[in-house]
Amino acid sequence: MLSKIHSAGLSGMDGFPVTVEVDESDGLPKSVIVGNVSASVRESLERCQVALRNVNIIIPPKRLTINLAPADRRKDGTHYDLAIVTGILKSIFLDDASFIDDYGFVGELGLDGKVRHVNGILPMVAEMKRAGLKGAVVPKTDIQEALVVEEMDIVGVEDLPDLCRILAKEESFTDYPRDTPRVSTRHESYNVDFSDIHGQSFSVRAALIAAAGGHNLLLSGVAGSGKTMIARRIPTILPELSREENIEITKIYSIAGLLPEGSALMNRRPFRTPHHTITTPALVGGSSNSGVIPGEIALASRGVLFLDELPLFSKSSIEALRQPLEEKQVTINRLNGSFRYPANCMLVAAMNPCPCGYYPDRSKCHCTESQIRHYQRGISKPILERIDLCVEASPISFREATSKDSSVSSAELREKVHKAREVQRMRFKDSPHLLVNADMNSRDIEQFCPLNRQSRSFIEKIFELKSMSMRTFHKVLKVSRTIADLEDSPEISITHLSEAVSYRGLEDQLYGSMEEALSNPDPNDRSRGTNSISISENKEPKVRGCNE
Amino acid sequence: MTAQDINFKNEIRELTPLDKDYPERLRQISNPPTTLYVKGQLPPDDMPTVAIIGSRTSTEYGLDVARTFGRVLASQGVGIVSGMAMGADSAGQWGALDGGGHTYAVLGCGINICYPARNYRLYGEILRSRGGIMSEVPLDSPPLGKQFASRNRIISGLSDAVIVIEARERSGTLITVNAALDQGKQVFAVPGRLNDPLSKGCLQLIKEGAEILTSPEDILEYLHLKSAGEQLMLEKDTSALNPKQKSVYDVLSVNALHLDSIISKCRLPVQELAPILLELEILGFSECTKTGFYRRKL
Repeated sequence: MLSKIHSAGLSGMDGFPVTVEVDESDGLPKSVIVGNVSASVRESLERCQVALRNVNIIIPPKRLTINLAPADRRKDGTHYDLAIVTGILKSIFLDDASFIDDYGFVGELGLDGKVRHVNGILPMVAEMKRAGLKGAVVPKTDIQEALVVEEMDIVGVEDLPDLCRILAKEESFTDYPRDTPRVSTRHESYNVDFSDIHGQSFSVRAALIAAAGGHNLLLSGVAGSGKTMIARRIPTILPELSREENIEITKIYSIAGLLPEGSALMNRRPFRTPHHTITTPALVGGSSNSGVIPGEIALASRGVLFLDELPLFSKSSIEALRQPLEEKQVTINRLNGSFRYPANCMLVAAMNPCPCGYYPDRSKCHCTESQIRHYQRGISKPILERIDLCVEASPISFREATSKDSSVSSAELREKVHKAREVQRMRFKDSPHLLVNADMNSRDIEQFCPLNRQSRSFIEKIFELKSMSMRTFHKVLKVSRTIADLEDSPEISITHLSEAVSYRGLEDQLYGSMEEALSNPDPNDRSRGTNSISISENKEPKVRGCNE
Repeated sequence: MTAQDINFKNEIRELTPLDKDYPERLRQISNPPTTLYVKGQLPPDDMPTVAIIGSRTSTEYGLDVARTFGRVLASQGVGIVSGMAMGADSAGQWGALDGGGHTYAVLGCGINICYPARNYRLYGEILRSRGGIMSEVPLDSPPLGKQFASRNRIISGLSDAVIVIEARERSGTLITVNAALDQGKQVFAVPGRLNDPLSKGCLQLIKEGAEILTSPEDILEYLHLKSAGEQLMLEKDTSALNPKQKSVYDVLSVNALHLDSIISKCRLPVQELAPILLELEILGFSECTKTGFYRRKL
């Protein structure tokens, strides 16, 4: 007898429908599983057979052929166990159990017959709904997560006897107790708040602007000045998660197996702090032995990716962030397919100003100019180009740290961010590719950041005074647009511009005119002769006491 | 990067004390360089010259002082001699170029090598403004420590007076000072604060009898030059500022302050303070040394 059971597989963020076909026929007792499956799916047969035996269900000696269709797609993971065991039961014992044809099955089996948690329940159940199924049978531990998908009948099973009970008769299936939906979409509170930060008004203000306009932020400052504290609190002032965003985050965490047990939705904006020794695949995502898994940048989507000690990250891993940050999604191409994850996160980076961390306080910092430069040049230029705001956190004094006044709460700031985002939403309602000011390209800047004559002549002066590059100029305009939005001012005034100028990045300092000239010597000036100088910055004179 | 890229047509000269062009000042010192490799010009014997030296890790204040002294002295026709090192040396030489004067760099490596490489623009500008680059070691010698110690005697030898901007207690700058004293040159030291490690060297020199330097006029007087009209005072005329600008300017000091401390002293939010600081910067009263740090400009 042939039986067909619906299930789903995962490819990147999305599921795809899988049908488990089980055929039972006479012949030499043998079980085979086919359909382009990985080793973990092949092992599933062993688990199913042992589990059945352990709950005293005796399978007659028959020839079992199991096919996972579509057979041309690679299938991986342990979540097919439940569908396979249901298929075996149906093909042998339950000819008339057609009432389960509208249901999908996912779950892993233990040898004792228990049904275990699997990763990726949410995207798989969502796929089942898309495929037109009425409901899903999932492990009992994953009910809440499955219930996030609306209008699906979710049945949670604890073990094989449970499963047998519901498969026995149609009435027993419909009467089986379902947990009532208790999916909460409330905004879960964070256990940190901006009011914990005293002083640092400059950095806090920059964090506010960054959150309001979706700008990337670089915090620089001496050790212990509270860079990490500020970064950690940025998710608390971002606008509340919408349901779609919430589901998107939950899907990623579900696939990565990071969803807290028994919880339905993430409800919080993620804050990811990878250590600087992280490898490139761990940062952008890559293959592991359980398939392609999302990297930190995908896990930080809709939240904050915090890179502490930015110059210490390996160049290759940072460079790999460039394209995902631009496109707000990351594509991982492997031999067996390309996988796409969202990467719509805010990048917040922190760094010390120099190797010892005290620069520019020369009474403590003995780092030479070239050491400082070398350290700072650890940040690649393309990444600096993607950071709109740069601030220097000041060393905090005892008086500031212990004072109780002048700190603002996250709620207040979030209110401001919310208003500014609203202004942006109205402005960009005809340009669907733009969500926040940070998304603007140079043409959008021309359209949305017009300057009046006064502001124009002012910024012209600054442009020359600070020897800005055009790119920096555009960043200043974007940031000043956000500052104006925070005050709900339709026009960018001189005040907004000059504040934006004070958040100007390191880019011009580190990669200014000199470097350009070094890399592109004017070809017209080239002539031959002995009269040449060669550049050597590497060796410091070694004799002590001659350091001028 | 080669010198051709900076397009200047300087012949390299190799001078020995027997040559006519060899600087008279160097002939006078006890151990003149046997060969002097020169790109560009040498300071003429009748030109008053001053060495501006100091720590490679100078504070912003020190750099500003060096640059101001360089500018004012060079504009009065004084040649500025230094070692083109990072910090005070190059600041003094940039100042000289600002002032439209001539400046001469004595290198510790061969003159075909720009050391430190970051100063290659200075290297080019010095030659373009009819200054000179010189060294006693052969053209392509790499920068070795011992050469730096001995080139210091050439710096002091070429100068009529030596200005020490900032120096740590035991620093290479003091090697130059010792050489200058051996050669009988006057040493001027810029006084600093008692607790500032970068002023320790200068204060020690003052204690040992160096001249206290408080304005460029001290040097001009020593060199018997009259100041001609140029505003030499280090104090800025703040009468042009409006009250708000004035109050912010009063809070600023010569050492860079973080915006947060300016905020707490002025009691103004960032939004209001930023434009004022920028106005001051446009007017030349202040400068932003790095993101978030502001200081009063000399």
